[in-house]
Amino acid sequence: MMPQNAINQSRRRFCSDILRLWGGLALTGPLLNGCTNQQDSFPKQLNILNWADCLHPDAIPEFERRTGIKVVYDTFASNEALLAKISAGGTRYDIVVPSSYMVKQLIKLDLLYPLDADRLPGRKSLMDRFLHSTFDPGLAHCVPYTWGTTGMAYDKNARFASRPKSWQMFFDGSARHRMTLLDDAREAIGMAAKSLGFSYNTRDLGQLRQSVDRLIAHKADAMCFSSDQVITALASGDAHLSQVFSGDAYQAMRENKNIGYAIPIEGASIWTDNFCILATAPHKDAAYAWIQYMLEPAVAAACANYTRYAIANALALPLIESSLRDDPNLYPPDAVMARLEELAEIGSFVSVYDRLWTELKCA
Amino acid sequence: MDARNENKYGERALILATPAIVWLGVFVLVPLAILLVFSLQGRDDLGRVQYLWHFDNFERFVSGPYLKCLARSVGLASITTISLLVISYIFCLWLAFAARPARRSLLLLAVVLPLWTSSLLRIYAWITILRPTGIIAHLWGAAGMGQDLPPLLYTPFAVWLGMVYNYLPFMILPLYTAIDKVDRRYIEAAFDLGAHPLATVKDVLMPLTRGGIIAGAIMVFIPALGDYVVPDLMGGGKSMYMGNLIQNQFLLVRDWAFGSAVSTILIAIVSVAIYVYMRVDKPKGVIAD
Repeated sequence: MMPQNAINQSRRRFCSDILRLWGGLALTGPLLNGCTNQQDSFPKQLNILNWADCLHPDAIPEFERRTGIKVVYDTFASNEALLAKISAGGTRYDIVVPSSYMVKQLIKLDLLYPLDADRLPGRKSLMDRFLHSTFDPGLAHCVPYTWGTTGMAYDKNARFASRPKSWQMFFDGSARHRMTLLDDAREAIGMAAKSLGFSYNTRDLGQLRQSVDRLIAHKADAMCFSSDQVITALASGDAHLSQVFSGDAYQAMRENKNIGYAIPIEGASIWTDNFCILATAPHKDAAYAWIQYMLEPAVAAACANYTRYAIANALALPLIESSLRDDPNLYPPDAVMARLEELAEIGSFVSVYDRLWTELKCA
Repeated sequence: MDARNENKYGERALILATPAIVWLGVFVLVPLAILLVFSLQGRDDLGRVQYLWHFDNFERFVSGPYLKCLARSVGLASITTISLLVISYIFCLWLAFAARPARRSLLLLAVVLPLWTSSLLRIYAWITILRPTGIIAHLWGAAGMGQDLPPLLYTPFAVWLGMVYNYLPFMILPLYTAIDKVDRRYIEAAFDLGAHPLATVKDVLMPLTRGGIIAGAIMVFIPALGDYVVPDLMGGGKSMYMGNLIQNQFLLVRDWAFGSAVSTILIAIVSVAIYVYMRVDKPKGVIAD
């Protein structure tokens, strides 16, 4: 637990970060003055369901201070868990943050509320390539927040035979009992598929069987399957080798200088996390206010500087710490981009993945 | 008592029992019926329940790798129950017969005390102790034993330890109540007649505390069979137990039909186990009353 003064300190830092970043933006400032002052017209609550470790801890207090809206914040650890939670019904979430392929699936299930572009002027600051997404053309239902890759993190003290750069290390006993895999069907099965030269989005039953069998054969070598404990495992030195989301690896690096991150030579998955409003959201106005707030370059940049994920906001990019912005693992150059694969919506094949994942865990 | 009076008592009993009957109906029978209905359905491509009325889910369970999962759960629950019986029986014997009376209530309080905090928190405490860079690993290193500590956390051993730790009070309390109630003169008589202490426990105490043993075993075995928190946190999510299998069907892969079928199977197994217990639990031996 953080002592109170540390929290206060970090809060002060966040506010001063925002001030400093605003200062740097003095010229573009007036352009971006969104709807942050319409305090009285909002219902006073907002329920957010976000990825674990994907927000600056002071982003919510600052939003609450500005708008007077009370935020209830929950986290999830995989797209599938998010879907299961909201499709079961009975939840009161307003904002959810699905990744690329899950946005498409949620649209198919009629779970998302179509966004009114006029109420989100901040959307203009998004980079071009995010305006033309493959999973939601025209961004009718979502607003990209951060993006990243799923690669491998390693402990430089673990004395591997060679510098880790390939998914094969997860299958050759390099880090027996000290490696972690993501507790995520698409990522874990996709990684095994990629290590065999297949696609992350393969719909070939034979290839899938082979990939899952490879995971089953090496399951005992893994320390654990986890998506939300990876930062702790890496930072503490428990894990020597982890399949990990890029930002999480860099958050672990902040605590443990010996952590390295690599995008494996076989390729990796790339994804974008997006703010969406649920069709059943009870506080849609507050939800619009939140998205508009998170689109403010200073806020977006403060969050990205904290979470270490790459940003989709062009105006926020200059405010990103240069050590992050210039890191080819976080903002990969075109040559690396070419071997990244976006997790695609696979339609009815989801049930095949689900069943194989259950079998893998049962085996 | 005349017929009129009896009828009046019957009415009153019915009125008094109504809340319990309504409670059982709404919170036990209706959910069970829903579970049973869902277990006969299917799942469409988007994960919604599809009304098919078939037995495919049960066929799937017996033909897939799921039986392995069931065997793992039954094994874990059995080993947990047996280890707890041994540990708790020894502890309760000592507590009832050897511990100073003034200390007894303090020690019993110490048994219950952990229940005052969240079990999740206590499991995380174990993680801190067992993890590769945890307390045991540090002590191991400090003792000069080198780097070769076998993995502790995320192993079947860790799951067993977590289960035994978590369910300890539920075994100790019924056992202690039963052992404490035993008339000391039976034990004195056994000793006077030259019985070995072990024979005294086996032939005198255990038959007399049969009720406590069965109550404790049921209170541990049944929740242990469906537990998913301890296996998940201490086992690292690598091996699924029945509890995890059911949880995943509802909270991850959205196959409510299969999840319901697995739950139905688990409930059936538990019911049969309890029924067998009740049939077997006929008083035996000369001194059982």
